[in-house]
Amino acid sequence: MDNKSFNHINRRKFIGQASCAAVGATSLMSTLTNFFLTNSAVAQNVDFFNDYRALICFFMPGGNDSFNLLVPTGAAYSEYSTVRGDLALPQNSLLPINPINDAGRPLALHPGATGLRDLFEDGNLSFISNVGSLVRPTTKTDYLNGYQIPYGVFSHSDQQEQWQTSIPDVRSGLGWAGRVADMLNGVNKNTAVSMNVSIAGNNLWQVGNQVYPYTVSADGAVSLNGYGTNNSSNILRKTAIDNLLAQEYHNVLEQTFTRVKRNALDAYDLFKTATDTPIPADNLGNGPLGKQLRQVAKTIAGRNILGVKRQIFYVQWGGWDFHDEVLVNMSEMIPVVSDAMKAFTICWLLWVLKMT
Amino acid sequence: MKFQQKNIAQLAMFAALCFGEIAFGQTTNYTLSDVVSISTINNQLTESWPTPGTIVIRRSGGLKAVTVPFTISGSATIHTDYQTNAGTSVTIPMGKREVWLQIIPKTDNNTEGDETVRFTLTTTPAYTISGSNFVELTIKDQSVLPNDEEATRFLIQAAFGADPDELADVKSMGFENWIDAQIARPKGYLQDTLIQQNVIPNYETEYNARMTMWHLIMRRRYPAPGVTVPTDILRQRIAYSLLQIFVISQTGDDLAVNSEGVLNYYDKLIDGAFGNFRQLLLDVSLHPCMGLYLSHVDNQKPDPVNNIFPDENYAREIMQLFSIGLWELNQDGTRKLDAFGDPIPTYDNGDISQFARVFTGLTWGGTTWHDFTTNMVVNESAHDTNPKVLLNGMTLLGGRTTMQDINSAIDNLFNHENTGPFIGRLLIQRLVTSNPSPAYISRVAAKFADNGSGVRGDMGAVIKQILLDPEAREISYTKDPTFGKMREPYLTLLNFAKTFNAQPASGDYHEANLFYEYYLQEPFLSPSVFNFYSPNFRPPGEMTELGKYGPEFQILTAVTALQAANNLKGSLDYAISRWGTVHPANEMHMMFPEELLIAGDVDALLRKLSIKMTGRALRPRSFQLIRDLLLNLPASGQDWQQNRVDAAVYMIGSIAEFNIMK
Repeated sequence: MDNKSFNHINRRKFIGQASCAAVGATSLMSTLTNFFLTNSAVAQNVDFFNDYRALICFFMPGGNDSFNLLVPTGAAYSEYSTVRGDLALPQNSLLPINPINDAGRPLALHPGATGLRDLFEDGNLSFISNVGSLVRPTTKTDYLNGYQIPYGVFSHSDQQEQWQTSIPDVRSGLGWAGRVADMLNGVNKNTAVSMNVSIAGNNLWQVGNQVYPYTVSADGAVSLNGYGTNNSSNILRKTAIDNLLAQEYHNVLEQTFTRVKRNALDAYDLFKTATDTPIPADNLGNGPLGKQLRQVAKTIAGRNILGVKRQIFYVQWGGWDFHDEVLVNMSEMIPVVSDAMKAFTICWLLWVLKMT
Repeated sequence: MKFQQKNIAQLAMFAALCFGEIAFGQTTNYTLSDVVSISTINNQLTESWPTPGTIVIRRSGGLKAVTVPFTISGSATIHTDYQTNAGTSVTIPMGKREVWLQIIPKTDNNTEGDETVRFTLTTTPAYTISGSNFVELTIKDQSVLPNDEEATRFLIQAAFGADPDELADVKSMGFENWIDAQIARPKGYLQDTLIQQNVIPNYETEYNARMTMWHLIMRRRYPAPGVTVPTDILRQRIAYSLLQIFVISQTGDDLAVNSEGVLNYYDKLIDGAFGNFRQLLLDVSLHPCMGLYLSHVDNQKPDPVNNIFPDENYAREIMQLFSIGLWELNQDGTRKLDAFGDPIPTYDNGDISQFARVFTGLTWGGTTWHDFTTNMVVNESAHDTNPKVLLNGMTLLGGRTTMQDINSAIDNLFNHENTGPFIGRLLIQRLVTSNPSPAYISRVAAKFADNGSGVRGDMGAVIKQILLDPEAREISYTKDPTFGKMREPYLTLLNFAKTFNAQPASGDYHEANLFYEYYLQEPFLSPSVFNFYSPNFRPPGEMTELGKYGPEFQILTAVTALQAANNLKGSLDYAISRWGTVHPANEMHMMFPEELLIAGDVDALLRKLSIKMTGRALRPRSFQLIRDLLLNLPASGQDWQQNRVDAAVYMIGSIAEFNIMK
């Protein structure tokens, strides 16, 4: 596979394949692996990576009820209504959208998703529906026969893990964003701040063999108190800490601990510098999701200081596992997501990539 | 006697001479004459615990190489009582300011009492001597009783650090007697503590599960205000470890508001710490908090017409996490392999559905709606009475009751060959080391299989084996570059609080300040049944390359690595507990009565703190660097002693020697 043919892989198709463990994803990933192994100078010599790209995952722990986010209307509505029973949204409450490829099946969005509707109608959003983490295309008969079905089909923790690992039949400690970053890492000329940045703590999705997420809070990176050059006692402390962390340890646990801490200090300095630039006002608000996305925007704006061409972000807002009151809870939470995604897209279009 | 071989091996290992780094921040001049001093980094030695004593000879003033002759005297005899790399003089090379000399005690069977080794500097025209011209190291006889280092190291593994009272107990009783005495102590139940705590009037905050655990481990008030009772600290440590295996979590709403039920569950782990594993597995399975957490409460028999199938969560996790694990194991914990060299799964989806059908028919017990403190009871009409086939071909006939089926399933897992090595490895990882050798696991698994009296599953015997095993106790194993484990954040907090006897004046233990947010760990707040970290997590880098596990590293991130140090600083500068600033009587402060008295003698201060905090001497280079910092802090003015002690604790607490327990 040459650069050109990789370019031609449709992005939606890539994400769709990578996020469900279809056979195609495996072969695509293997091809990518070979591609990078046989092109060790890839980062230096290809125009292909001269642009900047980011993949942002917004994870919804507990699982959003997607059948009430993207809803069939028209002739298919009655089937939807029957299947969903008292969880069905009234047809006249839905927000119609106009896909270019609806194949004669009109679709609409949850009434709270005005922001998503706007993004979609402006051509800034697509839906990838009917994907999930299967071992292979599976029929009901396959399932009843127990033929190559994923672990824990009805278990939350297993399914969340599988969405993050994309490996539904092995309990893997590696997420697919982590594995992607393992392969792409050479593209970033500076890896002090990991390609994978999490605004929502540790997560399996971003853990690779070599790459581990750099976790920051929505308020930014964590510094080490009393370590700095702003007064004499801090300088003394900094000298001691720097020298202590410069030691080599025979014991690999001690060595690993020391390295993680040293890297944390180095990463903080770099990250702070990169995200210190003031940013324009936005509509992201100060809720948990909006604050996380603002941190993503600031980080992308600082990409040149960080020295990165590719970044993968993880954002999370939980509580989607509604045991009851599904309709009420969704009507409160979907607008938050929808508005935040619209506000973030506006940031992206207006200033995120213009800052250098 | 039994340590003699290791002595030799160790002698072969230690470096001939270690040199310090060039001085910084000090006035040095190539032509100035030297001022030389002598001190120690570790001076209390024991024949049976052959850690080296380290003598440090320092100079200031000049930069030229300087040769310092010395004499070795004292009641101990070289080659008989100790070995050393020191001759009759040492040269501090040009530009260097420290040299380190070591002596290692040798074991004999003679009762000699304390013997001494004295290094005395010889006066020469090349330098002047500052301070005392000699140091004396003490070698104690081989003893069945542990010294400070051994006892501290043991209490970091078996308890929550070297609480002064517990340290005295271990030193006077020895390890095995201490364990026996702990097992015999009355159980400190948490549900009861919670109830008592919450009926005390004038409490600002209702106690929750986390605060109750914190309170009970620090135990200064229960059963009545002002009354101190002996804590069954070993049992508490084991239960705390079991909670990381048999995980339930208050992150979900239902359990979050039912701390009493959650602690009732925890008390089953308290019972199970030294009880029988079979009973523990049954207790866990029948508890409504587990029933809710892994959704087997009100689990119904299959009803295909109405599209009802038994929930499989509990069936899966009782096998994967609570008993046998995913792969067939040998007794030493290594995986069995099939004819193609592949590991063999312990169960498949078919087995899960069989176990899921076993766990049908349990429902809420008690007399009130959703009673979280009473075991689940049976509703036979919801139980699947069709025949079932469990693991290893165990067949359950049709028509049996819920409890008959459940007891058979518990037996099936309890008697599975995997259970001993699987659970044994997890507990070793929680207490001693992340990468136990197969031999260690097999010794623990053997105790699980038979406690010596023909009883399988005796947890007391298992715990005793884990803690008394040579791999846990003998110093030679700590030389293995993969030995040890990272102290997890909550253990670290308790280690500080216990070692330095932190207590609030009110006796009221509130939650530690934003603990989960800082560290990604706090009891009862696991993000999933998979605990805060996986037993099979491999940190990237050297450990992944070597194929070694480091579970706790999973939550050591670029954020938590710095937050932990910041929180330690905050604990030293202000207080440990969250509500301290609002209610001064609730502030929890670490106490340093001994350390404050010796703050003027930095060497003595660092010797004491390093043993208390890590159970071993600091490596000389760390000692040197922290010493430099302390000597640059003021030795006068308000609170200078406290500031020095705080800085020393902070620095030791921030480095690998403390954070990796080994």
